[in-house]
Amino acid sequence: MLYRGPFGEQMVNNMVLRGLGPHTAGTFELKPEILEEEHPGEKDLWSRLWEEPSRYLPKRLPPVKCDLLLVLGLHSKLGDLIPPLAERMGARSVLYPIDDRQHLPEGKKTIQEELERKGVHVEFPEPFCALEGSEDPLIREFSLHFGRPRFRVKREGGRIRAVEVLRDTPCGSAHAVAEKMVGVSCEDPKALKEKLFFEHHNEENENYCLAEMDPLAPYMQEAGDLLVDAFFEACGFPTTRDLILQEAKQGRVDFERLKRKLVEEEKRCETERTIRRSLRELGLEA
Amino acid sequence: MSGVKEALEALLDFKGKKVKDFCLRRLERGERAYDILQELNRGLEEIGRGYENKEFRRYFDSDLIVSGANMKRAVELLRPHLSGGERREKRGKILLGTVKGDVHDIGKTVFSILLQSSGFEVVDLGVNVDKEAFVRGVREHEPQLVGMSALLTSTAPYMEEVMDELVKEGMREKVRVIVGGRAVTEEFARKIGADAYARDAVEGVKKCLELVGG
Repeated sequence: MLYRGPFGEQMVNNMVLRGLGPHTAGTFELKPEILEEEHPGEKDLWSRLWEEPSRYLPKRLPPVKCDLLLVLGLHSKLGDLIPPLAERMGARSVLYPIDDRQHLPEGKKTIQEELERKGVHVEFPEPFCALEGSEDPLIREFSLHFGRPRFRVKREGGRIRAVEVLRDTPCGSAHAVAEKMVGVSCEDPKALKEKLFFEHHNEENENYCLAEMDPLAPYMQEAGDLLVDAFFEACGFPTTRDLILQEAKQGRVDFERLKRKLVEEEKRCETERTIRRSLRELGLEA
Repeated sequence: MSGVKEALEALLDFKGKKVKDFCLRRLERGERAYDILQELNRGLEEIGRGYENKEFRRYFDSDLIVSGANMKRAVELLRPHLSGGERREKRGKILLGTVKGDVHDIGKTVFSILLQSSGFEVVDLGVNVDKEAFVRGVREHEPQLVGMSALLTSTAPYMEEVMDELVKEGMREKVRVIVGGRAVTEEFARKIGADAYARDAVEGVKKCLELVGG
């Protein structure tokens, strides 16, 4: 696992503690400062790296081999290092999630082509907790344990008695939210949604969503909607997809209308990205 | 390890353990709580500069949130030591809120704790506060100061709507307004007619003291 910063560290920590530990070949924090230290005073370091990335593989990187390489929160300038690094590590698949515009590698298309040329499969889930299965066997295996959250909820007398996390979010927010939901009333879906969304990014929790939350790039809001939908599904409440299907039955599948209803009026979803995703998943994309 | 580097490591530790160690070690050495906060504040400034660097952004939203949460932990840990050494008389009352559309709480909370440690009475309206709530707050609590915060560039413009609402409701002359948060600049503060701008919580307290003539 290559990571950067507290967000990357939180994901590494959570996944290692929740089952990935014995399968982890190694973890390494890869940040721009390392390359600056290894190439002191080098002019145009970042353009040179882009031109010849294999020259800039960090010298202190442990010589490990892996099947699946996870790239967590890496600085966008360092993305070009991934193809030669994956090759050196013998990786067959790369998972390169984007949870912030700053994670998006500048040469994403080139990186993808370069990896494919080397016979390495790569996926860029946006956000990471949207990952749900894959055609690639390694990523599919990974996604059985981490990715889009899944819960089992036991209810009793209008309250939540127990919550089991069937699939955790990579950052661990699903477990953190699950702990906070025990004992909470589940009679009012609107109040339940507000509580779930708040706990999802509550900084007081052990793990919380650290994805970008700017309304111009609402990764956090989309991740919150995914978590709310997963919890609602476990409670038997209608999910965003169910609500869209209800509209579809009445012949009213129109993105602008759904956005107005579900995001602006009912505030069932925090971002229109969730509507777009659900439409795509339902095959109802305009 | 240099001070700023150590402060950066403490501030960017997602578990919050390093920042606790950072503070406790310095307290044991007999350093003043206020100086410890200043040292951490230099780390925050470094993160802020790295975040704002358009050519090469070194820090991301997640770094701002984690460092803010750690600053809050530090302020809470140091709070008993701060109030002991600072003046206790009441300086005035301030109404605080993060403006509508923005759910960031940490910077404002740090500011609130420091203000209380400096003798201000704080009424915190929370996050995602609309202009009507600011007006209601001024009417109900009659503060001398109003503080608005925004971390997101897309939500900062709402501060101007709050200013207009205060004017419309005839309250602008009754309060001095201070604005701050990552999305706000001194130029923006001037443009919307605020009385003061602060780039961080420590500077914010100084500006508030100036505004109430303390």
